Amino acid sequence: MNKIKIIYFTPVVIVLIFLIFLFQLLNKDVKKLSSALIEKPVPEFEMQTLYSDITLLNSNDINSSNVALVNVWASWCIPCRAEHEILMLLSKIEGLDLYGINYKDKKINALNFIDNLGNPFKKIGVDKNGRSSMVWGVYGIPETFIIHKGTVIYKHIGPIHLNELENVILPILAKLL
Amino acid sequence: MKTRSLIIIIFLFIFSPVAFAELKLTKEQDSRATELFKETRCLVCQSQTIYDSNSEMATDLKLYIIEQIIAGKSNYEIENQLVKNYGEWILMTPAFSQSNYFLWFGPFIILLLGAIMMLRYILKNNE
Repeated sequence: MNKIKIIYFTPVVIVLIFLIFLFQLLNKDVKKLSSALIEKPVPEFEMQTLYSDITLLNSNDINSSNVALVNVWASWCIPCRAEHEILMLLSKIEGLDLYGINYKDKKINALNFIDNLGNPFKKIGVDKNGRSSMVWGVYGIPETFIIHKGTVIYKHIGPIHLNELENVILPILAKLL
Repeated sequence: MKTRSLIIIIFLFIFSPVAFAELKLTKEQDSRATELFKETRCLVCQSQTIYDSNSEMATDLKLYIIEQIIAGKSNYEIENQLVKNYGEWILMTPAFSQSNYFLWFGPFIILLLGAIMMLRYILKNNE
């Protein structure tokens, strides 16, 4: 008699298991995919820089910084414009190097953007056709990576808002610096 | 104004395939490209494959795949590189890895449990 009763409850258990999965899905923001690069070394890449045709921006630059922040931006990207103020603030932090990747942009527009809003970056790489950024898994800018001693720690998709700076970015940096 | 927009539309139709036209593929390479396009998820339009999407990201990925095929990479190598860059989610078919065992075997396990229960019920009733 007891055995039959257990059988009656199995559908309930199965439904519960599915509900757990469903709620996990609902809680996840599917728009924001976590990066495949987290806890992985900085991907191999090399690009020309915005201010000189001779110097390059590559993985070695980023690996040479103790804590680096890589920001993918473009002058045509309106959220990037809003985010730039935050990057200017971040550039004042001692021990943190900011690197920019200028994504699918016109050189003149990129230069104007930096001239008008300031340059928070130590070096700016140029990715004219978006190909070099593919190794970073970039699919919608702005995107920001935090790198500690050559290992990717965190990826932020979309502009960094002031509250995200305070509650997410700065605590991560505080631990690393 | 109407004629102008019409001209623009016609121009767009004529020149949109230009990006692909310069890359000539053999028939075999072309079918491989299509196969990979249908297996690659468009990350900005998540429920679509890049084969179905005309978004900028999809176009970039298609070009990338075509280039890799021309460079002589195998489908496996190309898929691996995509997963390395973008994560497992980029592929429409989830990989057969440890974290996905439940996904692959779950339905069969549940089916098996159901079959066992049904069998037991039938056997009991026969007695």
